[in-house]
Amino acid sequence: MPTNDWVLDLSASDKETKEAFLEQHADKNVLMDLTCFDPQDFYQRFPQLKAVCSTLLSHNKKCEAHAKPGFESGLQLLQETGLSPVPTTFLGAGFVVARTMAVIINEAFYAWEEKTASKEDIDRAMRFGVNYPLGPFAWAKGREQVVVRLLETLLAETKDERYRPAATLKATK
Amino acid sequence: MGAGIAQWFAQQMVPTVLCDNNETQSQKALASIHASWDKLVEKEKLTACQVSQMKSLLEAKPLSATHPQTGLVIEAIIEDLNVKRSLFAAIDQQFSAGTIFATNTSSFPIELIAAAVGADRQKRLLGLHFFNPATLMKLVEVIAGPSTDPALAQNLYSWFEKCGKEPALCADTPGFIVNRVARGFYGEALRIVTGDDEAQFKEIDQLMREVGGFKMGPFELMDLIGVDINYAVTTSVWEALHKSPRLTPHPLQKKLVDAKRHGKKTKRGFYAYE
Repeated sequence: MPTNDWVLDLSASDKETKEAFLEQHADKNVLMDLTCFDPQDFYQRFPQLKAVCSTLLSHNKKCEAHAKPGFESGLQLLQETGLSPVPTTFLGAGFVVARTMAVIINEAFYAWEEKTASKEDIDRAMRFGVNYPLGPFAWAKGREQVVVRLLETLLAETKDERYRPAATLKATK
Repeated sequence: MGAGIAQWFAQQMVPTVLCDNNETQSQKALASIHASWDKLVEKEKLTACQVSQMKSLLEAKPLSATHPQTGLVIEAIIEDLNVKRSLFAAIDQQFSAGTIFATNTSSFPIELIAAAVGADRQKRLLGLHFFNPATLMKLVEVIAGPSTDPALAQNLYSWFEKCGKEPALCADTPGFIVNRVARGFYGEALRIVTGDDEAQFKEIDQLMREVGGFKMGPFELMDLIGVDINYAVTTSVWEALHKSPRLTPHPLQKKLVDAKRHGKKTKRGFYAYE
């Protein structure tokens, strides 16, 4: 399938902007980053959406990705942008990695808020105590609002207070 | 864990005494440390001369026979608050006023342990939480209790840093840093799966390794640590943080604990081992 039949959206836009983008490209095959929203819900509502991925909290150019049967070639687009897609079957907000990291980052903010330790020492503890590739603050740096948006989606979906973002995380621009 | 801590101190060329209630146990630990050093000489990671010096600096003897002017006593005994408190209360008089007392607890508030010793000693008592294996893992959580002299914690932090560790200074809060912040690594994976399904565990482990860049995925790591131990830590941090919904233990983990599926050590956890 020629890739010019495809359009790609890897933006960190809000839900309405993502929906408007899909409506605008109803005659194309769309590959969209849906780190912060429910991919199943988008697949159902927008038939032009043929593949989804989660790149927004990636730290190593690798990302989870999923394509509808017959549309796997669309994932080549990700490779062309320098990303390495890894197939996933977990189609929920945050997929697997971003969802897990959002929860860890949120807890790190709560711990810092409660003066457990400095941000530097929390990052250091997670890197050298349990071998995380990056500490939670370094992981989130510059992407804090992506984490907040994802947590708010999970909170709205599950009504579980587990996902309520820390005030200091929300306030980080 | 005490043996690993003692080994690391001797490797810093610090005169170190390894103590255990059971003397056979401490002699066994000493022999095993010697064997590990000999291997490091074979692999040319250490010189024979360095190892000879380390061996001369590390001895095993009963706690009652240690010098009263010892600079630092690190407790790494069973994770039982009353046993730890009894130990510190018993040795408070044995050591000089300058001796620093440290606990390697991973879960008890330093304040509760410090309450077992006199007011002056409380200023010189803190948490030093090492990670296994202590000779390789660089983190030491340096935990100042409410009575700990802040300068003491800061000095130890700087000393560990100078010795190549990666210390983290933290307050006396439940789970300290790692045991609290890491809970989501396991808890979220347990919430993403839809049931007790090895194929899903495998996919999540692979994604966390390959995309997340972690050395191990959450399910394989829980099996290695022990599902029972991981569940106990989760429950203890959750209770200590007033049962925060963010840290609620997951029923699937409880189910495995009840079924004695404790991981690799019982040959069955999230995965089956042969």
